[in-house]
Amino acid sequence: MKKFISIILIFTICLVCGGCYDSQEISRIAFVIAVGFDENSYSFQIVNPSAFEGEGSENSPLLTKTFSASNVYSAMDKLNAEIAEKCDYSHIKMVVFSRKLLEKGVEKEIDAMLKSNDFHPNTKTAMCEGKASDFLKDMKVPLDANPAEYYENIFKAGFTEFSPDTKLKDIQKNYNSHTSACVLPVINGDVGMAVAKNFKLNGTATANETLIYNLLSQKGFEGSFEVSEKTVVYLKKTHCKTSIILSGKQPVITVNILLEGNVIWSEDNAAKDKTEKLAEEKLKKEISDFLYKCSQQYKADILEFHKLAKKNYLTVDSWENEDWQGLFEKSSYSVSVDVNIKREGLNIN
Amino acid sequence: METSTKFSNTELVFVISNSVISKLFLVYPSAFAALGASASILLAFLTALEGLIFTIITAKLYKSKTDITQLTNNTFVKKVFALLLALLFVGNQSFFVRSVAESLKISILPKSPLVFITLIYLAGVLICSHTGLKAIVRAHSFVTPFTIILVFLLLFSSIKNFEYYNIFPIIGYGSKIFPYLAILSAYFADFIILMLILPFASEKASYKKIIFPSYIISSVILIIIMAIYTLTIPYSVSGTFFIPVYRIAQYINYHSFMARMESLFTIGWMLSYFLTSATYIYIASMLTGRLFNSKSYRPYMYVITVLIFLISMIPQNTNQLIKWSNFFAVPRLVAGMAIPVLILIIHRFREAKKH
Repeated sequence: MKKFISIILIFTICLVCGGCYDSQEISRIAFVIAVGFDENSYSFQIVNPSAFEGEGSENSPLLTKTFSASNVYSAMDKLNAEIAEKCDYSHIKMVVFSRKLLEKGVEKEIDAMLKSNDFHPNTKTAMCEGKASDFLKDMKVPLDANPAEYYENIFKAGFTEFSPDTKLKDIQKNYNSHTSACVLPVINGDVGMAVAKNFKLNGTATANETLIYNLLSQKGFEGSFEVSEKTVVYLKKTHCKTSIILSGKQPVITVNILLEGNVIWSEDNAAKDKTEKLAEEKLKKEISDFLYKCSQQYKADILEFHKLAKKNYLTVDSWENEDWQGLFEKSSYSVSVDVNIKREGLNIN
Repeated sequence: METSTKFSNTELVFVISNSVISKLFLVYPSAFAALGASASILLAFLTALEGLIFTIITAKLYKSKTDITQLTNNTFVKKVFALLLALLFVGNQSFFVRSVAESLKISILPKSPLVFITLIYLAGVLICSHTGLKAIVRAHSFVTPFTIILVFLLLFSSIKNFEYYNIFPIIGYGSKIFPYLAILSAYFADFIILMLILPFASEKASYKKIIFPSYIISSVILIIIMAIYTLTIPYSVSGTFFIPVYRIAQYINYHSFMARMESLFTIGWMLSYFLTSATYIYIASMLTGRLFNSKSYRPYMYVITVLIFLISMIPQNTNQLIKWSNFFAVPRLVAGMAIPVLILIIHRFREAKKH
């Protein structure tokens, strides 16, 4: 009797292991790897496995489908209705917003993505000039490349210090916060970044400003910097200390940066000390200009100085009652940069 | 009953620790963070301190190895206390099982109906409970260490996402959290299990030798989980997640070689939930059997499992579930901590009077 019950149990468990409602046959799944958000339309980039079948296939490995819908989930339903396979969104590598939509505000879209388990927090986000659907359709992937891997690689190769790396989790961390501001890389047109406040586009920054943003942000920095028309150096951030003094109604923010680097190219073979001084002066000016631009033009605390300011408040209530946005717009900055040139390539001066 | 079964100190430490910490892998850290905000780590330390006081008091008072329901002289009081504990365990497990089912539906089984997930989970738990306390305790011996290792893995792999600014404003909501401090100590209410399974411990075992290591493991894991959560997610959003640890695990990303770690953690957490439910159903059946002076507890297991299933289906949505689960901390505190301490004090007083 015991053996009989055991056999029935084993068979029952085997049936249950099939997954029933959530079962997924790999051959019946369509993997969505990028989603584009336009005004009232949503585009899905799907991997087309038939492109890998046999040599010399001329099919594109990526298939883009666009649907008009009031929200992303309605568009997902339309996608599921149109294609025979079951759509899987767990491998989405990138979410792209069109400039027009970002200008209008993307709070509804962000909220929908953050509440759902379909969009992974490590999904990269970006803004594109023109329509997101056109950007996805025009995306060219070499036929021998794995499309998902290709997405990761183009981010790594093209998105250097001239572009911020913003993931959904970075947006999520500022969600519900009264200081919410974030940056998104611009993936076509002029390289740079979009500055968003309360999920609305507040302005764009140039490639050089983005480089300064990356230098000041908490992430590491390593990249080339043009000191003058005659000299280019490769700099690496070794130390960045930011402090804030909240005296009266004007915060004083102090930024100290230590960089070390190599001379990549110098036409006039300027002395090491002179190169260091030139680099320090140029960086100091560019950093100051960018910081004032953040508080006075963008009016968005993208460098998250509010995190430092919070230290001065004992309770959540006292912090939340403070008008940080108003204070931030009046901030003054004190910047000091120390550049240390370690080597000058293969040459010795 | 399996009176011949004897368990070592270590085995029982793992059972108690797992019963306490398993709720940390569900909505608990979110509810904790909603109260503590930026001061959640501080609040975790205060909760651990309260737990220490409870542990010291019970260790001082509990000298015998008798089941706590048998420490009163009056048969009626014995039965009422056993009934109260059985009801507490059924209620507690109902909300726990529903939280597990909801978590599974949100994270890995979105298309499956909730009733189906709950039924399959409870069927598995029932089979596990049916195999007896010996199997449940032995299973804890490898599941609890595995769960603890996963917590440390979560800690080390989340370091990259830590932002120490998240602990500011340093005292969170300030004095507003004091009224909730007593309720938070209900985290340790699962220690009552030890007072019920101590008769199954080996000759060398004692309450003191088991409860202190259990307390240390439970407190350390509470502090670690709250530290990871507070340092990773700012207080403005930390109170909004249904499965906070799952979200933290999703944040882990070391390029392409260490990503999607949530699937590994989910295995460990599932095992932890599963054994906690099996332990509770076993003990609730044991207490019910005692109420009816029955020699076999197994028939009651079916009734209790059905009861748990029915109660778990009552909350109409996750908001209601969270609200009721939070409210249930009060009965947990009273029946799982206050009444046992009272019984132990009365018992000690009587013992002293006898001598």
